[in-house]
Amino acid sequence: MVNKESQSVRQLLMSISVALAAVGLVWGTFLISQGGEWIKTGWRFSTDAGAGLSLTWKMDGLTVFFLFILLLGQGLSSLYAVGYLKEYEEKKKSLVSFYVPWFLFLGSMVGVLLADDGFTFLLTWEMMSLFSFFLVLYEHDEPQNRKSAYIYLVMTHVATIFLFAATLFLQAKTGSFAFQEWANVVPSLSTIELNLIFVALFIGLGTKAGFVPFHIWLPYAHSAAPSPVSALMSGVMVKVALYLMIRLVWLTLGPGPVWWGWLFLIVGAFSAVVGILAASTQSDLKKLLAFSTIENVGILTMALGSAFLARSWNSSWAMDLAFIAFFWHTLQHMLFKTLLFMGAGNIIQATHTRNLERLGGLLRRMPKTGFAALLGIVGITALPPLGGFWGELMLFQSLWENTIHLSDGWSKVFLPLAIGILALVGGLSIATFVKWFGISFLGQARSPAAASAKESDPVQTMVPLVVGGLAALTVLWPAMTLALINLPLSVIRTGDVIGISSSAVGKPLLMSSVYLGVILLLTTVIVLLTKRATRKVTATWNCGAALTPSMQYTAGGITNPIRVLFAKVLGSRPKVKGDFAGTQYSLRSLTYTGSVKEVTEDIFIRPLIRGLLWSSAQVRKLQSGSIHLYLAYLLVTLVAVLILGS
Amino acid sequence: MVGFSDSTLNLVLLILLGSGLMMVYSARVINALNWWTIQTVFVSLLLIAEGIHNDATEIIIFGILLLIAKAGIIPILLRRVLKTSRTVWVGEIFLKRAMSLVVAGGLTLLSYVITEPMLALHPSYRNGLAIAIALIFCGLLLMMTRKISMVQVLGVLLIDNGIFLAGFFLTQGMPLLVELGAAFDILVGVVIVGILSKQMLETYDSLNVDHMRSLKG
Repeated sequence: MVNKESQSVRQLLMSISVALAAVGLVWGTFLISQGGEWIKTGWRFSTDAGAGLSLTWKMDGLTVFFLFILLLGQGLSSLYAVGYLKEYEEKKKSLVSFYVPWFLFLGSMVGVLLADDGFTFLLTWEMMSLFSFFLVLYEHDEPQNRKSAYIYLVMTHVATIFLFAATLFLQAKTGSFAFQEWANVVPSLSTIELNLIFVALFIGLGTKAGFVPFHIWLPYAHSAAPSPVSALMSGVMVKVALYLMIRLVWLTLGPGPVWWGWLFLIVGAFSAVVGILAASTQSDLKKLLAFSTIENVGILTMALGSAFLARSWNSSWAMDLAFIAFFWHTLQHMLFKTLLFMGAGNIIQATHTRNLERLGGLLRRMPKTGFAALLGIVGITALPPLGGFWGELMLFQSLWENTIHLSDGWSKVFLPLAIGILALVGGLSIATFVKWFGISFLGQARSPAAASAKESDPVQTMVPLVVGGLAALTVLWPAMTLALINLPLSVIRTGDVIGISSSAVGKPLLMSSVYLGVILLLTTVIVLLTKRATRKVTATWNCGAALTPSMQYTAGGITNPIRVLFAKVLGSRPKVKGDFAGTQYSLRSLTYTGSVKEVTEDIFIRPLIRGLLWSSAQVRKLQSGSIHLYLAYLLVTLVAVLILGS
Repeated sequence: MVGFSDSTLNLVLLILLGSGLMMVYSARVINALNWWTIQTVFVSLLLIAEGIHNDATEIIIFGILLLIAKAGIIPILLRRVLKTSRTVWVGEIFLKRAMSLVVAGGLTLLSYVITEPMLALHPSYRNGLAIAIALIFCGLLLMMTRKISMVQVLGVLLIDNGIFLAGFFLTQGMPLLVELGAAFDILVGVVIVGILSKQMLETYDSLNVDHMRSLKG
């Protein structure tokens, strides 16, 4: 039974979290509706940190946009957590180690978004990493989760070393931590210095965002965390890293050489393909979603790359398109990924398994969760009526626009290639999510756990539906969404600022509501018309035999063509073994074992680790355990010091 | 400074260096210990002579204390450990006795080369300082190339004598407190080593430090 006291603590704390988010959103909306120069130039304030130092903060349109994403994510996830955390209470697991890092994690993310100098940024950034690590570690009873958390901790710290390097270098150059000072000094830096800083920031921030090949921690950490945390990490935290890409690279380091844009574009395309291929062959409910996050980060990075290229080629039209695509997709992905992680959370709590092969037929048992998940899938696979489609459409247009504006031949080859890759990713993502939804919700139950699943707590089914509703609202009322996107755009764009919704770039987007309306109308008409007709529901015909769960597609089988097609890239190793019972004709049983591995891990990460271990082993040889050798070091050192000293 | 002529000083220094080299050349632990005792007696005598020359009573007293503690108590303690462990041979490793003597000679030459610039100030102490450094090197060499922990203790004691001599020749009398502290330090060190040897004997039934390799993590 749930303890009354801990129940009220849970409700109180999560309500506070929701209320904070709501107050922030309302207050922010009020501030923005007042308008003012601060949206463009920034509104600065500082906190005294003692010892004559102060942490400086700045809020401008760019910050406001990401704060909006963060607060929305916080509100929705906290509300969902009210229901989700009940299970831990029933299991008598202390929730204190959830609440404390939860609030600190959210707070540090706000801090990262507001930071206006390198020191504040590093401080809040490290806090964010650390508290998300504690949240990933929350279910630490399982060794698998501990391993995931440690991989995350190591990767995030390696990444932070690069950020420290870049920050301290700029600090040494300018004598100040302030971003503004850095921006002033950048023109006087040599090309090599500028490129080195860029590469350090790219690796440092890219690791957190989940760029391939620095992504290896992401699938582990995002799937090991409790579902509300996964939703926040996938929906919000990776976006914070992308926010810093804009803040530090675009706004502080300035235009930079053309290859920066190419790097973003190529790494983005690579991440998208690797992410979605890995997702399509996953049979773990949450890992699949985590890999899909890598794919979407890849798409967002491609948009950034397109914007960088457009800036180098002075094509403001393509740049605007790319940025609208970027911000639109950021918002949409946050909504849909949050929704899907909530859906996954409901399934996991109902069946206690993350393995798709053990699910099935859940739509009949969990209809509300199923409907909400379906909404999320339409969004995330970029199918027309919902928002995902419009973002990718803008990105396609932006890339195409860049191709036209080009003088240099190479780009004419590579940019259409990027467009092709984006299309491939879109197709694969549909296959992936057909599998995710089809295997878990449709057909017959593949295990007793799935057969006895019950619909979740009302809160847990209501929140995903609310998210789906919000996602529909962003499309139904595009003027509002565009007004929100206009905020960061007014910071990024130099020169005249006109509302996007009235400019030529934004006009097609305003039509989105019309399409959605038409489709809804059509659906209603079809439903109404078909209702009149007489229908007869009978059992599925199966040549007279009874239907069994083993007749349906398995999670491995449904995407097997992809596995076969991309065998090299996926490192797929299928093995089919038939037991013919001694004869040539009668087959007793057939076993299929297939495995995929992360090829990028083999190419990039493992050699790195092997090199590190090898050099450590070389150093370790010094410590042989022989006292005589240690004394020899002493003698050699003494002689060397005396010779050098004289 | 010292109350006797240069030739006498050189003779004392010869004895100090010679005993150091003999420690390196010793095959039995007991011989090395005896050579060390002789060396320490002469170090103490050097100090007492200095005290008499300068009419400084406290230095004389200190010299006598040093004589009692280092040439008296420490050898007795170490002899007892040797007897209980029934250790006889020094246990050469890496270098045999003759070869270690050659290396020790080389190190002595090296110490003369090294101390060259330091002696620009006081040419008359050239031998003294160089031999002090040579003793430190010999001590380290001894510790490196012998297996028995008792020899390593002797190496430390040899180094201590070397350091004491270097201080004596360089500073013309360190503050008394520092010298007292150093002497007391080494006494405590030897007591600890006595206890450690007992532990080693109980655990490994020998004083061979090679057994301690198994302690490596």
